[in-house]
Amino acid sequence: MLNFREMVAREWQLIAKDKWLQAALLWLPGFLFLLVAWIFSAGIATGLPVGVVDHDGSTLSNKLIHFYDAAPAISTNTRFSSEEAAFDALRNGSIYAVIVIPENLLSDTYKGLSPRVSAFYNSQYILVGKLVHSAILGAHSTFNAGVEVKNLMAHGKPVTLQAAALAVPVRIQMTPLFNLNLNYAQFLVSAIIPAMWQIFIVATAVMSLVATDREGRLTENVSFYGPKLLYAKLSVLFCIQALTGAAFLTAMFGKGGWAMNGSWITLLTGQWLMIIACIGIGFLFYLVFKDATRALSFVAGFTAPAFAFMGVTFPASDMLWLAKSWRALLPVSHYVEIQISETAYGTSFLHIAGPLLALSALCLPMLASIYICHKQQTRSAEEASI
Amino acid sequence: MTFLQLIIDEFRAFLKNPSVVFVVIGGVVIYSLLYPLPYAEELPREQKVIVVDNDNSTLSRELIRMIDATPQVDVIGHAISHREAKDAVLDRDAEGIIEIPGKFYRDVVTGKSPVISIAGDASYFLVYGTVLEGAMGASGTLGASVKVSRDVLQGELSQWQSNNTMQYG
Repeated sequence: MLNFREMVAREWQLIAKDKWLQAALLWLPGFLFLLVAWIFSAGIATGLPVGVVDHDGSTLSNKLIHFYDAAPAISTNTRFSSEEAAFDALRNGSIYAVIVIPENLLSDTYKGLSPRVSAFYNSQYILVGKLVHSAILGAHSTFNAGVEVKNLMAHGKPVTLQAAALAVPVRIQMTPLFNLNLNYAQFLVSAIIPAMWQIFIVATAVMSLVATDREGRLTENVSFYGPKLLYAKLSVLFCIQALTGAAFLTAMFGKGGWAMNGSWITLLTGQWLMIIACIGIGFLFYLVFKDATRALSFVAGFTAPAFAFMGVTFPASDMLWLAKSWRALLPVSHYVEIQISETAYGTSFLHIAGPLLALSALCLPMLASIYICHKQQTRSAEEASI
Repeated sequence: MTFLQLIIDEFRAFLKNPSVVFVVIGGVVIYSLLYPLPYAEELPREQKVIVVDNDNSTLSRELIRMIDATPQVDVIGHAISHREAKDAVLDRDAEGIIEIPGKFYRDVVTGKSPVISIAGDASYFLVYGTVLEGAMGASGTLGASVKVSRDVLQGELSQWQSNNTMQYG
């Protein structure tokens, strides 16, 4: 009979021997996290190519194109002589939008005939489409206001400021809270990494039990040690995952990284609860199914779509109740809420009591796994005494 | 053993293994139902916004009603101060703040073009974009109606107004 310290040592040896478990615990998550961070490293989308078809070719149309070009999100250095050529480029994906400037733009504007500039953007790429659309709209309304100010001044309004006020009666100042420069990397990477991490935590918990099952038969171990086996596994897996979690949090929100306004203690508390909940779910899957393939396919089914349910890309408040209930079962969705609250809002403990409580409730599978092991141990002890 | 027999055997072996069947057939069915589930509503609508109305005039109230009327934004209430509105956002009761400056009505009438400040939670891009879209749309419409009524007052044909700038479509 091994004591607890020896059992923990045995778990470490198990990891050292099992190359796959080692990979899934150590370098595979690290590699994938770096890959994702690298993909989104540009952070802010700028200079998206936009094609221009200028049928007017006047000074005014050139000025309008300069206004579009001045928007940081788009760059209009591709000119086309015809709509066909431009739409071909739009279809094959080399440009994201086509702006068509009509003939007689200059003369129609002076006559007050309101010429129509058409812009077509590829909204198949929703985020890119939104960016291009708002860049064109912004450039266009600035240009329009300028035209109207000149018009008003030509009609005898003396002061530029007054003319500008007449052209734009109500102005808007828009502030993106908590992500001031609308950084895509901060928005996506800080959510994708926990979602991937959740898959690894649950899967490695299953793999750890599989490794024991392969080595020295799980049932025998459980009947002998009972829940103690799970405690040993939990302490080892928890240590590794807590280090991984702290590492990616430091990389993202540490010195020189994105803004961190809240308390590290609260954030780490949330993370640790998530680790325990995820490991518990992995344990329960294997103890119930007792088959590596089946347990891992359930892990995949449960954790892989988590990113969509997290409510970062699509607001959770607009999900149907079924999606909301599935979301509530995923530890990572509560964790991400805590992460955003802490890093962005810097809220106090009270504000995130809800997700913390939900995470604690999701530790129930861990208790269930412990109960299963405990029951099996007492049963085999009874059988032995008979 | 013929090739056909091999294929039949392979199928039999496949169907006999429940975990493989679950992954290959059950997995596809579950995923195709589960994955689109969060996006079933397709568009985010009626994002909750809290208003700080420092003017409390007929025009500012009209603007608030217009913002509330857009499908994108739902005005959940009024806050007395900026601090109260901020607390509502931190509590996740609201996703955005619309602040109307004092003397808003007076500034519009005297042609000083007051600034409405809109703040949205950019930790969630889609929420931010939706609040922006709704608030921009409503204030654009208010601006246009202010312009038209002012031009009518000054004796210009309102027709002229809608004709003097370039359109974008």
